[in-house]
Amino acid sequence: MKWFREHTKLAAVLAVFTVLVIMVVASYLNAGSSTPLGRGMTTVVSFVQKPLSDIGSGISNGFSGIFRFRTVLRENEELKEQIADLNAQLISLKLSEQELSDLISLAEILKYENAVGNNEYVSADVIALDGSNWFNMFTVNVGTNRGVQKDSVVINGDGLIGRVYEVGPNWAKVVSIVDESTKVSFRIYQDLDMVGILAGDGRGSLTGYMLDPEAAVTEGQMLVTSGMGIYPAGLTIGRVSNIIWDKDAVVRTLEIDPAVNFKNLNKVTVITVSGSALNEEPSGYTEDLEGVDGE
Amino acid sequence: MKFISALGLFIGAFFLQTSFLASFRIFGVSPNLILCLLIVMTFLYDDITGVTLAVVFSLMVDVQFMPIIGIGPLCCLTVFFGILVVRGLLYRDNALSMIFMSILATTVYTVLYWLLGAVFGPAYGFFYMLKTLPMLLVWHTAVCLPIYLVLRRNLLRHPRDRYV
Repeated sequence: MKWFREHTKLAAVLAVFTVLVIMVVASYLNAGSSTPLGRGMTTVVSFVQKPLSDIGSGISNGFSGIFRFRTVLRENEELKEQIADLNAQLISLKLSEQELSDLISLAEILKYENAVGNNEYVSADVIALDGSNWFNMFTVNVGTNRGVQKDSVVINGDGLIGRVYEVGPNWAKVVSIVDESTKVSFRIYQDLDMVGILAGDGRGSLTGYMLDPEAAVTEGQMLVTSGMGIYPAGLTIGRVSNIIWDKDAVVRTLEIDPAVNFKNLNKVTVITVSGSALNEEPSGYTEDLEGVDGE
Repeated sequence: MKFISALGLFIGAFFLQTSFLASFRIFGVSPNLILCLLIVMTFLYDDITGVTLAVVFSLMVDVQFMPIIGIGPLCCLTVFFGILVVRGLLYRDNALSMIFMSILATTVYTVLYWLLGAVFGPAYGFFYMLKTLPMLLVWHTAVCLPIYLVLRRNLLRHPRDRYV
């Protein structure tokens, strides 16, 4: 005790150091669980972060608009062409709509569960980022008040972003797929029979492997979610940028460029499950792979 | 520096870092304002206001975002001790000393953060961390220097500096 009285400052620093180490170890052992203090703090600070984030993105967009004037014009022309293409597709889809409605009626007669998708889409703004430069965790301004739940899937116009890992009344924390230690099951868009599993590579990108080592994957092919696990089928993940044959593990390892630019996220969409579907059992045709899309 | 002024600075840094600055990333990198304040205040002042507030606000960042809580504050504490050791060797009235200190402290913080992250948290690659480091050094130097120049004006010359 005498030593503590003589070295009060050092003792205080050592005490803080010890408390911090205990916190690190405790949160490591209870990874994923949040404290009421943390949830309360996020609820309070999100009120301030939202307007600041709006101001920041407004200024940033204004400046980039000035310097990217020609690019914006070019994008505008490209978008006009895309609208024309999409209008043509819309007409074709309307023709298929009748066929789809017939199939849904047939599925209901056969009592096939989840014949109609139960998903709803909620737009959200990114109001806070972790600020670490290495992780891609962020907070969005929608929560349980808009039907967002833990493990709700988050996307934007480019493709799959990640999932909600914690949710409050008016906020949700999102962890991106490039940070995840968990895995996502995918299919090759050009050949939906080719299935694989991917995960973050620790460098802000993605890496994966094909379940069939003989699968004829080529660079540039697009990957979409397979529908196994929490991620709905058909969400764009990215493109194969490199293929490496690992002769020791006898697998074809893929390096993948994510479709989403994780360094520039302002607006996202959260896929929620509609109220009527919340109490339903998962559909019979969704087969979970062990270790895929799970904690 | 008065505690209330320092508290205001850290509150501003916390909110700017987690929301406003997210829109101003250069090559995907934005500065850690809490660390910048810690570096400047520890370098200039002899009290522990800077490190106390840095630990508290780093903890808040960890609580709000990170799955593992406490890595940021531990790194801040280590950087604080590092600056205490090194600042005795530097002339505190010289802006070049501030630049050197900013580079050194940022490097130590980044490497230690990676190390603790690799042991406890979600892992990211060493080379990925190194890739972001140069831009982070530029950012932190650009942020630390103006803060240092403003805060230095309110200080007396340091009688214990060896060049006085």
